[in-house]
Amino acid sequence: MCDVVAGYGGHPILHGVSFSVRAGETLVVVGPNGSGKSTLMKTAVGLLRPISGQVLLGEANVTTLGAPARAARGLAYVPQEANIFRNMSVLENLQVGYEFVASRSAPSFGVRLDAVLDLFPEIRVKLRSTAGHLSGGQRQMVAMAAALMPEPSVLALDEPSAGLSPRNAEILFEVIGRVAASGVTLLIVEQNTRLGLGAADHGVVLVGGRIRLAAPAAEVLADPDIRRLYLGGV
Amino acid sequence: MGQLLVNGIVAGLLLALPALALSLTFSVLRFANYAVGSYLSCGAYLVYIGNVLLGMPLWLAASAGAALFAVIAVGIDWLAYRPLRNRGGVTLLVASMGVAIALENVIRFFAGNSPRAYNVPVARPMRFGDIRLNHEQLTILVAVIAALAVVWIIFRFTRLGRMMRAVADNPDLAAVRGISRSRVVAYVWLIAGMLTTLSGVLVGLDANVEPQMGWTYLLPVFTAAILGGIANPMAAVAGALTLGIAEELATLVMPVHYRMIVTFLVMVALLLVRPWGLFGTRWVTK
Repeated sequence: MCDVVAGYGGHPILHGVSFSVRAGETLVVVGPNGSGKSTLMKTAVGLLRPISGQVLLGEANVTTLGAPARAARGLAYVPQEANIFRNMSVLENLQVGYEFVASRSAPSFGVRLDAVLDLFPEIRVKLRSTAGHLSGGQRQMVAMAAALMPEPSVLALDEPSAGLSPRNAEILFEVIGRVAASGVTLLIVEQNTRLGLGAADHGVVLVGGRIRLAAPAAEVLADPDIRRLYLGGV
Repeated sequence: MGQLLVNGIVAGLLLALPALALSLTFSVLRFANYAVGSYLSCGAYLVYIGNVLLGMPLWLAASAGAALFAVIAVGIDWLAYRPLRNRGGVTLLVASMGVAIALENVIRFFAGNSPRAYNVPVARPMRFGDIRLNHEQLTILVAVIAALAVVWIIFRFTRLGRMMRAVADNPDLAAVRGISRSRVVAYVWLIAGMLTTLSGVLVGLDANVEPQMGWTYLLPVFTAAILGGIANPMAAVAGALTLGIAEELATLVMPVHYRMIVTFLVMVALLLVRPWGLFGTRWVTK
């Protein structure tokens, strides 16, 4: 993102935000409530068009592209809430995750399904269940699995641990670690700073729509001022 | 009683296609298309042109009319609804009232106010024991059930159906899963245009083709769609059947020409007690 100003109804929430994620790395954006994290994520994935500035995906300027076109270029997104199609079965959720994005040269649906179910074995037995009837943790896994179906190059996660028990959040971040190890670039917005920054290469602290600090994740976690002022003293 | 039940099923099936079209457009676009009745009338007149003026058999005229009006429905969306897409459901509802008035007046301008009839052979009704079934009713039964089956198969088992269900369920998530909403909207209008044209033909067969025919069906169609759960297209079919049968059975206790009261009563009761419909889920606004 280069000098992005974005908001709703002409009122900016992000004020000139710039950061980048290198291919294959994980960047976590943390910050207090109302700092603009979700606005940043929506701008990144194409659900919100910035007022000014540029969004780049690889070498391509995707600022004017909508979410479907960015998805077709390998950007997958898991929203914080409403991240599954509640009235569809788990299998249909995975099918929709694959069929409108996967390129002609991509591995077949069956191959991707097996690969994704290996990451989330818990949902293998739930494939015929209606997604809206699953528990919060299972829904989060279905949402992640659906996003991973087309083998994206970049995965954006908005508050992946929100609403999960500590144990489920840890399990989810273990999976996120495995996804990162497979070479997928990750952009994560996370309120659980310890968990988020613990899994990241780099961290960005967003406060009031401006970047307060951008540094390697370990440095962000170690910065006493940042911890005290913005990260709840973790 | 058996005859009333059959009549009720036929009446319900007549409502089912426009109710399905209304519910389908509502589920994807989140506005109630008040012009659904005028779509029905327009489709019926297009088929009349093919059948009576051009001498086509009814099935061919209906197919051509449905295809043509499907394209017109997409065109109406481009002209009237698309520019207002982000203005909210009430604005679009008012726009659809304007579309309804415009379409009806176009019909009156070209075709006049006189009732017309399709060119179909007159045939004796069939009898199954005590139950009498005329050819128009049989045509309605077969055509509506076939159309519903096709729509259900599209919905459940095709890529297009998954696209439509995804956008209806969660438009933002559908967008990030690579689904273009504008494409889905176009497909939805194509299907709605075909369904309303087919229902226009069947209403025209059952009664007459006239400019007011859509208005007559507007309240029952809305009631049927709300009865099922307006955002749940296939449930609208169940709503239509329930309403059709209730209207017919009501004639056991009230004069036939008062049966529209049943529709009013059902609509009022639903809005008071269960506005999300019999099969719908409660809407929560944050």
